[in-house]
Amino acid sequence: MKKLSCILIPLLALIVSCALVFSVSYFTSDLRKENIQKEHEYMMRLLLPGSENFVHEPYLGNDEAVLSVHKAENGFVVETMHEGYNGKIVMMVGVNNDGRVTGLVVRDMNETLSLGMNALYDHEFLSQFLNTSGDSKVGETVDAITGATVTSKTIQKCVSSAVAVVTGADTSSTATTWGG
Amino acid sequence: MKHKSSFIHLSLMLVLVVALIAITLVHTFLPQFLIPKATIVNLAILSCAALLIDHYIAKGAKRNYLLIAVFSFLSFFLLPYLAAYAPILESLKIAFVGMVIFTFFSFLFTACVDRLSTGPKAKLAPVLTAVFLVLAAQCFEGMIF
Repeated sequence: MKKLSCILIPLLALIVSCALVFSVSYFTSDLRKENIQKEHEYMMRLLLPGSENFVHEPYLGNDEAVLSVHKAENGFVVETMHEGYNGKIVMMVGVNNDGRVTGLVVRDMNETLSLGMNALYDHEFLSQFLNTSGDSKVGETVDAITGATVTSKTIQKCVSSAVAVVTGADTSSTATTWGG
Repeated sequence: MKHKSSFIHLSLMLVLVVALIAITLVHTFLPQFLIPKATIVNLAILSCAALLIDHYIAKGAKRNYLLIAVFSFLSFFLLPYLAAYAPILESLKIAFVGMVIFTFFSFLFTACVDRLSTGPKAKLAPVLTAVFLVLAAQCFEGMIF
């Protein structure tokens, strides 16, 4: 009986736990989707100042780093992804119709804490890409984050890929090769 | 505690449920925040938290490592999947890594705490053991990636 309870009690607890996490996830799913959509639209308006309406546009190019493209009145917001030091880095980059970067933000990353992770909020580093046309080079025109050269180069590649969507530039030399 | 030996499974489930509900709520109400990934270090932190709770509530319980492996696999698989934290294949990967970490850590934790707890005043020994196990997991992750 004691042996059986060693299995039955955790089994019962597992069923209750599953029901609990599933119900929380299920009942918040609609609100979650709505909030994610709202936050996405807010972020796009922030990255491309002066734009209000965004339309999802299918990407027909062959750069696998491009995840999605949204078109607005005065430019595009492009979501790109490249391999960083520890997993993929996803970014959203605003590019105006002249091919100039108007804003950029890191959306997902799993880099080393206090090194590569600084790319999330290091305004000094990120602002170096503003108003460029995707031709920035880490170590030449852009100062890398201290101790995170690979992460810095990945950010540069994400920006280059995004600009290339708008300008049609060839990204094969700098935007898609790991390590730059 | 009548069934001390089964408390280790319950403490792991408790830690996972709290963590997953927190992640779900953060993802819902603060979608701009980055959701922590199920890395070796994060799984080690969750495992150590569960082992600490188990140690302080059900100290001296017997360990059945086969059951620990089975229930940790089920917990690390079903809970992230049902919380929509990860798709099925990703959840299986989390389950396998989580099972290995939790089973191995429960063995190491028990062995270390038994040797470090020299008396009733050695209350911090389990916490220090947990911290060192997390640091060891961080070193291991740094070595393999």
